[in-house]
Amino acid sequence: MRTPPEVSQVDFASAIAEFKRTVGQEWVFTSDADLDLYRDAYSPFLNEPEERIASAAVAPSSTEEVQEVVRIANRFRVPLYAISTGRNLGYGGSAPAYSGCVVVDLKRMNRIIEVNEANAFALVEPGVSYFDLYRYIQEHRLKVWIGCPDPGWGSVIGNAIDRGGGYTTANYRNHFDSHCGMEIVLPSGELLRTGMGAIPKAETWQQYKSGCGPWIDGIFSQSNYGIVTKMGFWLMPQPEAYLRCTVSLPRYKDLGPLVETLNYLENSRITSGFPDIASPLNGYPPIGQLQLWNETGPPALTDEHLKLLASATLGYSANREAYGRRTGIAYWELWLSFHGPMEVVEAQWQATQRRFAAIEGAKFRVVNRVALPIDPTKAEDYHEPELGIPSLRAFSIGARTPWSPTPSKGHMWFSPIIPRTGAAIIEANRVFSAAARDLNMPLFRTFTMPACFWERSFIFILATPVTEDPATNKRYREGFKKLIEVGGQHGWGEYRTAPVFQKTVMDVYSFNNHALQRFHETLKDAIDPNGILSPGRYAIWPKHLREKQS
Amino acid sequence: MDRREFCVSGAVAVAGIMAAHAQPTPVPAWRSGSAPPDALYKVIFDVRFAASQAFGLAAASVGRVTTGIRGDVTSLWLNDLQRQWALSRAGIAGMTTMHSFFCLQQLAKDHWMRAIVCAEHRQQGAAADAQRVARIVGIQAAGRAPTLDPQLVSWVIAA
Repeated sequence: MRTPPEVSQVDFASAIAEFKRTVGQEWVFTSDADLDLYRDAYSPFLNEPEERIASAAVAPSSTEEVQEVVRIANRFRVPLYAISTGRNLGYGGSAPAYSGCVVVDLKRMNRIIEVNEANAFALVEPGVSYFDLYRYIQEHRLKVWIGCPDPGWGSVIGNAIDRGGGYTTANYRNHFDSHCGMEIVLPSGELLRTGMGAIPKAETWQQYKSGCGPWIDGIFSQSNYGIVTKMGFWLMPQPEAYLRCTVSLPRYKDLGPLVETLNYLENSRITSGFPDIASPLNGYPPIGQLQLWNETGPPALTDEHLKLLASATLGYSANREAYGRRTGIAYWELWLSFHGPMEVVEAQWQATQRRFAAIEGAKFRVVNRVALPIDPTKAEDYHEPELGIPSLRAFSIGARTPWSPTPSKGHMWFSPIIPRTGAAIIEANRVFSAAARDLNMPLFRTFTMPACFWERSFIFILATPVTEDPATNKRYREGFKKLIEVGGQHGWGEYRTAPVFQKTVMDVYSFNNHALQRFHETLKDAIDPNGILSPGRYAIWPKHLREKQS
Repeated sequence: MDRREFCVSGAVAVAGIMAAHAQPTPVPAWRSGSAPPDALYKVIFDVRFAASQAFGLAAASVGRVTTGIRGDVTSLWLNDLQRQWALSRAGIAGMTTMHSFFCLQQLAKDHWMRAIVCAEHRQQGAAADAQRVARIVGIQAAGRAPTLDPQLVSWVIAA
């Protein structure tokens, strides 16, 4: 049997026996075959001794069982690592941040406690996946949408507390922002409810977020201060119609006005859905079309276009721009979507066109004009998550195809946040492409577009491949860390990262001699004095491991 | 064929009956140890590839229940396997692309199931493991060895 570090075999055996008494022996896993299931499928340490692995796994079915598991862990000083469904591939998966932890696997806690159609909210447990919630809503014919990421197999709670996002309207696609109320098992085993849930007979737990007094929900995301066992979410009322349109702009210099206009439209709630900026002239697709490109192949480019793609600097050359104007290929193409009554979305689209018409040469196109709900059998015609439909089609992006003959064995997401301006896109490309070239990293090789998951910032979401060659993986890991540092030097930080990079990322958040990190540690010492919960998650180490890990 | 492979290949009828009449319980029979060996529930093939289609046809000809996909496994999961695996950890086998297999393998983890055979056809020596998959499915016994395609993987997922 594997044993956690700094725990004797006798103590660990006792803890395992007590876990079995608590959850039933069939829900405690100690064999290598079972624990292999908790390895990170995209581990950056593939086939290397540093890969983070669990010493055991325990799968409670209720909040009470989670509380008891935590109390047992405190008695024997056994480190735990909680996962919901463990599907945040590219950000660590189901493997612990600290090797040897016992994984607390919450997937059996999969109750959908409430879905309220009248006021559009839900209360769920951590084992509820987007598929589960979608199925429930469909089976009960409720007129609400979920916001789901690509792919849709993850936990609704897990993605939210890892601060992931989706593709519907701005206030729903930020999954942590769309939550309302949490229930948390603290490292002591005590149960806490946040917001209005702190009132014993709360009637508005999922209807008013902050309650009264300090609002603490944020400290339970990307952290190790508690195990979230219930969480409420605001859902999007099912819209009557969906309008998908593009705005095409012909010149490189149009990027700045494009972003400014988009910001006005989105911040004013005139455009509601996920905005997606592509560059057809630079051969860069919109995110929403990626899976289609990978299923059917990217659009064919002429020899002249391919030659031009190899020659530009920061996505620009006069020849390229002239080629685009001659052939009608847009420099920039903004995909917008609108949700609501048909007459409203048509009016929003009219207002959008009026705003963009100020940019010379702007062209407009309606891609989809759809009355909702759509026929589920037609969902494949769309990028499903933009319609609140979970899917696994995103995995076609990593598939072996004639146009992608050597897919990776996984990837690590490089995902810095940058300002939402055209100038920032160009500057980030300048900085990161130079650094990536020096480091021989397979990122920013061509002009790269950020995504608009968040309302007031851009985010790059770039896959650094995991290969079968440990030497290459080591080089990529080191290069990845350097890129994080380079971003930090320019004021840009990652929004989320895999355990192997969490210290490097948090070191970037260093204002006033790492005041934030020190505050995290002060909280950790107060809330979890035995340091049993998810040690090292987002570089928050308990006192007894802090020096060793720094 | 080891014990697990034998169980997967052999107990089709028994598991089929079990699945049809089983009721969801807080502790599924497969975890309490009282269930019979979990059998091969279904064979998955990808209609876009001739070798995979032939594999599916051969599996059907020996009495296996088959489902054709086109790369994406969303519908197979949502409308079939998720419900099936909530009742019984019945095994599945297939010849698909790696990304379809990867998705199914990840989904199977939710039920503490895993790949017990995986033959990536482009890899040297894949033929032997592809033959194992064929044997588990029962195709080889019918004299039909699978054709290999470097874009595909033969696999079995089971408890």
